[in-house]
Amino acid sequence: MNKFLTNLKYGWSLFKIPMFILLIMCAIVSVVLAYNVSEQYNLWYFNYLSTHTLAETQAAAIFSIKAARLDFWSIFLFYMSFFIAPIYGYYLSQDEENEMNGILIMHTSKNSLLFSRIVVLLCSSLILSLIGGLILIFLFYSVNGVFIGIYPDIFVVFPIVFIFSLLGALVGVSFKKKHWAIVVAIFLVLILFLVHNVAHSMGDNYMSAFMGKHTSSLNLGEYRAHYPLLWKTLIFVSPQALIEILNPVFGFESWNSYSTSSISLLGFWGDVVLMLLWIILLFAALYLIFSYRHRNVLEVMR
Amino acid sequence: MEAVKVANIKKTYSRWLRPVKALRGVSFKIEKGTSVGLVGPNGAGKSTLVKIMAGLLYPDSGKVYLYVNPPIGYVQEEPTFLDTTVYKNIAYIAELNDIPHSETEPLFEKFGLSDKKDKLPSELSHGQKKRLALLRALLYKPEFLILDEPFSGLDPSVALWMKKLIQKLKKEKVTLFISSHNLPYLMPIVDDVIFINKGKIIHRYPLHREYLVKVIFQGKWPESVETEEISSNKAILKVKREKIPELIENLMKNNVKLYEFSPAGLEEIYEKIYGGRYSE
Repeated sequence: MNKFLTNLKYGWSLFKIPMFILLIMCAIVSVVLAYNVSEQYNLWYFNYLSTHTLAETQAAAIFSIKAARLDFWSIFLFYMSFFIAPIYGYYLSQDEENEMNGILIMHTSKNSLLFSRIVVLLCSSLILSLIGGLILIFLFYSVNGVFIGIYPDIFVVFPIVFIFSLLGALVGVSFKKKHWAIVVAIFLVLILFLVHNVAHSMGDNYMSAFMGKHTSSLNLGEYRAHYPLLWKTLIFVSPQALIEILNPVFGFESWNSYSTSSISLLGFWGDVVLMLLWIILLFAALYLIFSYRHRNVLEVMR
Repeated sequence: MEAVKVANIKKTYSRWLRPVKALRGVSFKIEKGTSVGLVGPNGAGKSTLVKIMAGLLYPDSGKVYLYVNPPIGYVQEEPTFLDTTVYKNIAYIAELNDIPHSETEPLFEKFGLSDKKDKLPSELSHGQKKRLALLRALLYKPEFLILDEPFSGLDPSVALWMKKLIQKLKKEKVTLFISSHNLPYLMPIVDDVIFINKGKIIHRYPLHREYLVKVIFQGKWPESVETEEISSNKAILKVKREKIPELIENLMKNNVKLYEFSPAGLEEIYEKIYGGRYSE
């Protein structure tokens, strides 16, 4: 435990500069996006108010604020993942490249070293998500005079940020050259988003055509069942897709017409299971690769 | 008593999908308290062997058995450090080994790094990096220390300092394994030299048991004295330490005039073993 805490303490110390860069990027992305969604809400509100009663507007505003929060987090995750994955990849690969992990393992167990670094990933992911949320709260209040919550959003966003950081870390331990780790992490994120977006539009197009042929409208269960498995699978190739958990949580499924932007294709619990699966699989892969890379060569005979 | 046993280590690298055999079944033992040198041309497999012995590289087959208490000490040829200050690099290792800060402070002074504690290792000169790496390795008083090219890239004063420090460690009975190209520095430090080429040990020369002697002479060399190499006025021969006076007496009895009688340098040994053969 003592060695673990030492690893954790110095793990944080080593993460200071990457964390500083991530915080700056997080602040920039959050300010731009938060200001954008706040302004959009502002425009919508006064436009809606001009054609509806105050009571109607207030009821709709609750949903509109939730939609603004969902918008903010979706785009926040998109932009931040391009910084999170490569920076965590760099962080994990630099000590592989310079053999420092091997040297540290002479003095501590590899599990202690790896877990301490994962705790750094976990805590920093939480900090980034909270900073993003706080900036959203602050700017939304500044523009609209309305205090918004970031609960339960943060419980969905934080694991997704953590998944992206684990993805970067996995690239980091797989590629011993830190510059390669950065390049591969960026390309990986790019490819995941591309596949996700292509699958999204292909799936949605199929469903539009399908629903056009059927006069009777589909209920939610039927919609999910008819959504092609291939596109459904490829949509979830990117961890960003897990943000859809917020659709049932915010009550969008009972409000909007069905489209993948307002429903959960897997259902709430399906998304939760998939989120856990992402974390467990990435963690297992990270552990296996790190353990394999640092196999025990020396047999101590005393 | 053994300190380390290296058993049938094999390692193949894949370079652009072409296998390159770095080590082809290397086995040897190092006795406790002795110092062993590792010598070989570039590409002979020295660094691969050193990294495997330090536990940083996994061999395809074979094992390294340690009969000393871990952790072992390891000083790289090009030392690497964590991307943090000199002080934190040392403090991290010290804390992992439960060494109080009061014990690390005098070491910075001893290694001439007390004014560099707040600098990043990347800001240090090569000699300072070597000293820092040595400080890191000696911090926890290892029983077995591996030094990879400890003299490379050092100016003469630092190289001499390094040599004296290694000699002191030898006196303290630390088991040493030194890979080096710097033969004049290596010669007085090591008890044994392992010669490696193309991933195989081709010779192990026990300096503490027998000498390779160079004799510059005039006269007829007696046939009863066996030599490794002989020309009209120069002979190289192996002789046990205690037999040296007897050999000199024998040569003088046979009217051989001795102009020089000295232990052959490792250069001569190196030249004799490798000739012009290099693995590159």
